[in-house]
Order: sequence, then C-alpha cells, then structure tokens
Amino acid sequence: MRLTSKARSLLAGAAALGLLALAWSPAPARAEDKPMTIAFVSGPLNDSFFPPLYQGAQDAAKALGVRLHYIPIDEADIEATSARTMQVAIAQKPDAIVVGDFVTSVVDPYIKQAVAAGIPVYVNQSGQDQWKADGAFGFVGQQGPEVGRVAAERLAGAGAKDILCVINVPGNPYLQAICKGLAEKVQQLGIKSSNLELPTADSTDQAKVSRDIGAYLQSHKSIDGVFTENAAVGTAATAAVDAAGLGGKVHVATMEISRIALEQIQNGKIDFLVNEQPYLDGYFGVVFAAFYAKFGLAPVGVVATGPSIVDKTNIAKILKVFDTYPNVIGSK
Amino acid sequence: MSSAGTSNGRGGGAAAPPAAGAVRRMVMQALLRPEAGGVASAVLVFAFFAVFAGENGFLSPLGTANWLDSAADLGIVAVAVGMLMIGGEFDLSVGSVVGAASMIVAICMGYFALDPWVGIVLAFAFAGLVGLVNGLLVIRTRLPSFIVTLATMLMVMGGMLGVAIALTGSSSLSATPSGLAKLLFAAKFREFHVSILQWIVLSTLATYAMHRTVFGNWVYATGGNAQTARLAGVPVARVKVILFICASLAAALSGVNETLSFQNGNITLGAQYVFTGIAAAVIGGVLLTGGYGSPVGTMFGSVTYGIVSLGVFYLGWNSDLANFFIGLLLLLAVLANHRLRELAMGRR
Repeated sequence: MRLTSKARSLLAGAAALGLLALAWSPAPARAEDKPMTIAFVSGPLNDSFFPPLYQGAQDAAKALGVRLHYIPIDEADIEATSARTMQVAIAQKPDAIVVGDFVTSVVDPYIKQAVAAGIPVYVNQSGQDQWKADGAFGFVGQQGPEVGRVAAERLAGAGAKDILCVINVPGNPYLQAICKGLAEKVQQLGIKSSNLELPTADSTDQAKVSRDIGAYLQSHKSIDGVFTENAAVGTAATAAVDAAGLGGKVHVATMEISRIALEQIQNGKIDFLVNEQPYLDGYFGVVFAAFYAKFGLAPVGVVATGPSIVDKTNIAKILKVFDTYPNVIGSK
Repeated sequence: MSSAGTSNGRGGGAAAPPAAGAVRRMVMQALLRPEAGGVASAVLVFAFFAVFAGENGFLSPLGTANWLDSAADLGIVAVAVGMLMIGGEFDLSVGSVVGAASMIVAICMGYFALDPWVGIVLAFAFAGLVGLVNGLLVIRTRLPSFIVTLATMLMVMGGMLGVAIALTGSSSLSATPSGLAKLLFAAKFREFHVSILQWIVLSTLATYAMHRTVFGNWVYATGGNAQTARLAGVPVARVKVILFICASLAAALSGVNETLSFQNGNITLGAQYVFTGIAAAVIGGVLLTGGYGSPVGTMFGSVTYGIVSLGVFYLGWNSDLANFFIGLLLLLAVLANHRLRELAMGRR
C-alpha cells in the first residue's frame, strides 16, 4: 500500500504518540486504562510556601499524565494530621507516595509501613537525615539547619553581630531547626544570636508581628540583624525597623519570596532572600516518584533544591520570572 | 477614664437619692457600670508594664503607638463581636471573614490590577452576605450560633482558599494601595495608624446606638431574655441579623486595613480573632450569657489585651515565655475585674 508523504508523517506521528502513551501507561500488571496515581502529602495551601510547591507538583503531573492526590496537613495540629494524612495516602494504594517529613518521629513509622506495603515513598522538602533509614528511595529538598547556617554567614558578612531569628509558626520543628542551624553558625563565627518565637495568636497577623518584632528590637538594642522564615514576616520586620528608626543599622533577611520582598531587595531594606525553590520540590517530587514507580529509576541520594539566594546580583532575572510565571517563584 | 456614654441600658439610670456621701455613692455607681472592670484591668496592666518595661521603650511614643495600634486592630472587631454577645449570640466566623476580605482585595487589586475600590466594595459586600447568612441560619434553624458560625467559618475559609487557588494559584498576594483607599485604610501619623481613629469612631457610634437609641434597648432585651423581648414587641430576629452583619462588616474592615497597610493579602489573616475578639469583650465586662456589657467596656478590654500581648516583648525577658505571661496577665486582669464587680454589687 502506497502512502502519501503527508499520510506517512501522520502515521509516524501517531506511532510516536502511541509509544509515548505506552511509555506512560501503567505497569503491565495493572489495569491498562488506569493512569498512575501519586499521593503527595505536604503542607496546607493557606501557608504561602506551599502554593508554588503545589503548582510544581500539578505541572509535573500534567506533563506526565499521572493523577495527583495532594493531601495537606494542618499546621495548627501538625503531629496528629501528619499521621492522619499518611494513613489516608497509604489507604488510597497509590503507585507512589511523596511526603514532606516535617515531624520525623510521627511520619517515619508510616513511611516504613507504606514501603512494607509495597508503595514506594519519596521524601520531599524535610527529612533529609531520616529518609534512608525509613526505606524511602530518595530525597529532594533542602536541609533546614543549612538554611540557617547560610543566613548566619551572609548576615555576619554584612556586618551583623547580634542576630534575631524569628520563628513564625510556634512549635514547628522545621522552622526551629533553621534557627538552630543559624545559632550554631553564629557561635562558630564568634557573634551572638537569639530566637523570637511569636505567640500563636499573632502568627497570622502581619501588623501585630511587626509590632512584636519592633518591641523586641526596642528592648534588645544590640540586635543588628533579623532573619525571618517567611516573606510576610520579613516585610513586617522591615516595617518594624523603619518604625524604630533603625534603617541602615539593622540588617534584615528572610526566607521565601513575595512581590514586596523583591521590591525591598531593590531598595535595600532587605539584604537577601533565601529561595527555597518550592516549585522544584513539587515538580521533582512528582517526576522522580513517577519515574521510580514506572521504571525503577531515580537520582541517587539527595537532590538539593536549596538554599539558593536572591540578592541585588540576580534580582533582575528573578523579578522577571516572578512577574511572567505566577507561582513558579512565588505568588504574584 | 470613660468619657463616652452616660447611661448603660441596664440599671445605670437608677438614680441615687441626693444625700450626704454623694461622692461616695457616685464612685460606687461608677464601679457598678459594666465597663468599670475593663477600665480597671486596663489601668492595672498599663501600670504593670510602665513599671517593668517603661525603660525598655514601652512608654516611648513608638511604644505607645504600638499598643494603641494593637488595641485598635482588635477593638474594631471586638466592639461588634461584643454587641453581638450582648445580644446573646456568638460569631466564630469573624476571623475567616478577615482573611476572606483580605484575599478579595488582594485578588482584585494585586492579581487583576483593578481599581482598589472594586476589591474593597466586594469585600464588604461579601462580609455583609456572610453576616446575613449567619443571622438567618441562626434564626431559622434555632441552632446555637456557636455551631452555626463554626460551620460558616470553615466554609468561608475553605471556600475562599478554593477560589483563590483556582483564580490565582496562591493564598498570599501583594496589593499596593494608593489615593483615597490608602488614606482611609492605611494612613499613619508616625506610627499611629488610621485604624485608631476608625476604632474610636466605631466605638462612639456603638456606644450611641447601645445607650441612646431604641435599637440599643432591643439588643439588651434580646440578649437578656429573647422570649420576653419577643412578647414585649422587640423584633428579635431583625436585631440579631443586624448584629451578625455588623460583626462581619467590622471583620472586613480589619481585613482591608491590614491588607492595604502591609501591601499583602493573606487568607490566614485574622484567625486569632476567634479567641481575642471574645476575650476583649469579656475582659471589658460583656457577659458570655448575653444581656450585659457595653461598647466602652469592650474598648478597654481591647486596650488591656493590646497592652498585655505587646508589653511582654518590652519586658526584655525570655520571649519563649511570652504566651505564658499573656495568659497569666489576662487571668489576673479578669480576676481583678470580677472581684471589683462583686465588691461593688455586694455593697449596693
């Protein structure tokens, strides 16, 4: 049978599509028409860190044609919901689980349980010291203490001698680990640091957070550096510094990226931002889990997504991407 | 201390016969007013921090602005919540309305770059609707408002998060105000925010409404005993619906204020008001059972809470214990408040 060149290329295209479809059809043992399912246990979307992570996970799921079940924990009840969300994930019998191991003592037994039940688990964002012992097949994310160390180093480099580390979710072990890393590095450098754990009732109130930090600065006059763990708290800190007339004396740096925080990098109110690149956490989490479940292939060991730094040297590029692609770097 | 309002809807007008010891009687009568305890608590905690934190900047202009701002932010919500409580109902949904109003403003202004007033008007309209639904649900179902508004709180929170993620993919957006909107909701003189002015205006209006209008009498009657009030011809249902709407609108004002002041909208804003709004009203002398209390009292309850929750950071002590001290000082303030009322009542 003779085919026109047009028909031939159509056929070739169809064959290529078929191959692609085959490549992403589920494992032969499973029902042919059922797409792969990945359960993703991570943080709540009302915490501004997580929407970019969710966006990354969704984009990867779409690109690969896998079904994504995003199961958020509740930060106000972090231990109990960490357990419950893993139970839900395991009960769904997904092809793979991606989990943010925020409270290792609670989550680790469930990771082991999932692995024992034949569900591969990929650890994401938090849990870098535990994933291997739990039987997970890999880790993508950053190590909390490392973020603190990098922040301490850079603030000290800017001239800070007494750094305040602000913890905005009281009792959150991941955020505490970051301030601990900062304290360790500060000690090595021979300077000082202290922690300010915000009262639970204030942690969602930017105005009150700003005044709390301002009051703390007024009553601890030697503080000349502030490190915060999300962008809203960071801009609350710069407002407090401005109000107290301490601009230029107190250096401010923060984790996470927001539009206002980027503007404050430009006008010098914030020294630098720690970009945790949550989009990559979500995207790679889904990609690696899907590859492992399908092909048994995965990067070996830890894939580090942070800490990456945004300061005056790279702000132009970051700002452009921030404005062009919502939720890839941060929310608009 | 209290300048606004000369009679409170409940018993304040009971005139003492002019006789010897009139001054003493006047003092006793002042102590019997519902706001006496709130005023006492505020004076007590102010004295405490003036002594222990005065040198750390608590008494400085910035320190004063800080606690006044805190009291105002809380007081705007608390005055409406307090009136609703006097009317015999709770509203747990105010916190979620603060966050929802914040997101509506930020989505309209920050994400879709619309005129600030589109978002602001929508935010207040949405809040009014939530208040209306709260009120109608409570009236129609006769379920406790505690449960009804707990349900609407979760629905508003979850619904708004869903809408925000669907429209913008995010739960935290920037919003930079300008012009009249900035002046009305985000202006400040040094560090004294315009919210202090709003708070005073709203509290004055509330005081006028509660003590000088028929509506105020209706509110006290409704909260005191709804059944009797209904028999006496008080439009109980209408009173409650209006109070629910006021509480929601006050919450929306708080959300708009904070969003425009900090140029950032966030869905979790206001979560604390579930507790602190009620706490401020109770510290200020509003009874949890309804029928008793005053806007002036709530105002001083907010001052008490504002001073305590901020003052702990001026102490220069270990901040890990901040929550503990806030709790302890509030307990002492309420105990003092309660004891004062007992003393006054006992001597009458």
